[in-house]
Amino acid sequence: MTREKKRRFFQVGAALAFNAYLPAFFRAGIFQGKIKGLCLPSLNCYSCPSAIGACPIGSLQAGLASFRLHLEAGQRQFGLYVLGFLTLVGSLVGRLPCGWLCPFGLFQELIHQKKWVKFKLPRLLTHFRYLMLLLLVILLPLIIVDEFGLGQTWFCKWVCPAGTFEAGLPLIILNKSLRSQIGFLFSWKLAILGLFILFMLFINRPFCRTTCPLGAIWGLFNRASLFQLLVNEESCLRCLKCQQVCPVEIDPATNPKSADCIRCLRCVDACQYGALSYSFLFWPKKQFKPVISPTTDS
Amino acid sequence: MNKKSGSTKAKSIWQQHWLALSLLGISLLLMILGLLSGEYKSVLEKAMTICLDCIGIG
Repeated sequence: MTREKKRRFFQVGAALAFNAYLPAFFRAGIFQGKIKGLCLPSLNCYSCPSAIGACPIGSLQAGLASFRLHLEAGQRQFGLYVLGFLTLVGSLVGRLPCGWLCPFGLFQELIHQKKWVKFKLPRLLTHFRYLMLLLLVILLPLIIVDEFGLGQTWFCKWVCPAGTFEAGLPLIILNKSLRSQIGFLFSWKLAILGLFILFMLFINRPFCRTTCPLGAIWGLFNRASLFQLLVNEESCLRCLKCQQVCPVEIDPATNPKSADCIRCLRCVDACQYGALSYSFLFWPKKQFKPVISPTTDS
Repeated sequence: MNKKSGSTKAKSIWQQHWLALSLLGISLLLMILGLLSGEYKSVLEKAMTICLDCIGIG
């Protein structure tokens, strides 16, 4: 099995595992088991009927939104559990879950497989996700509060297309009482989802690259995480094949620690000279045998 | 001999990955502190109810 097939297997497996409680679809409600307090290593909406865990970005926002309320009630809750989880995954593997586990990432890749005209994403737009993280995930839920000291989950409410796709649409279809409450907000979120689906046809993973706050957080860890993409500069002939196959349009040979890299490892397979490999702490550097020897080929 | 090579290996791993290992330690500490202050229950309560904001009926 090629690594790309293995990756697809992991993506589908993770999507099924993170949303394993299928009976919820027949009850028009959501899974309410006690394990749901565990954060999932991907942007998987906890309001998806079958979701068995919590979305770390939703939980982070909910924690920040109720920060003042908790303090006023004498509860010392600072969102340390979610912050710890985000740091744990980030320091272990960086953005690897984006490439191997995220169900919404899989959805974007499947849409992008259609043979349409492909466009490159302007690099400037990739910085937009930090604005989303800072403004909608951290600052606004923390600052703008009602008379009870309770904020809103701004990113979930106004932007997250994963929530609309994984939770909004299934619940609206399944639940009659929710259907009667549809208003402007649902139309807005549906429009955002539609816009991203349109972009997915032409650009690979537009949401991950421009908007996803979870990718923004874990991308910051790419430089320091235990899992690392490695380049052997002596073997690299600058053929740019790695750059051509990269779904996020970076140059892995010159910038293997890029915050945009989702560690899909397509570049490692594309390199015929064995210049790219990866390592994970005790797992020794995996040296790939070159398909073509750099010395004989050049 | 084995002990020596083991400690050398551990030293080299620490030198290579000191930042990631420190972050890993911090993350575990944060998670434990969060769990001790009852944050798991808060996350669970939020995750167990349908988030109307998330589905667009806020």
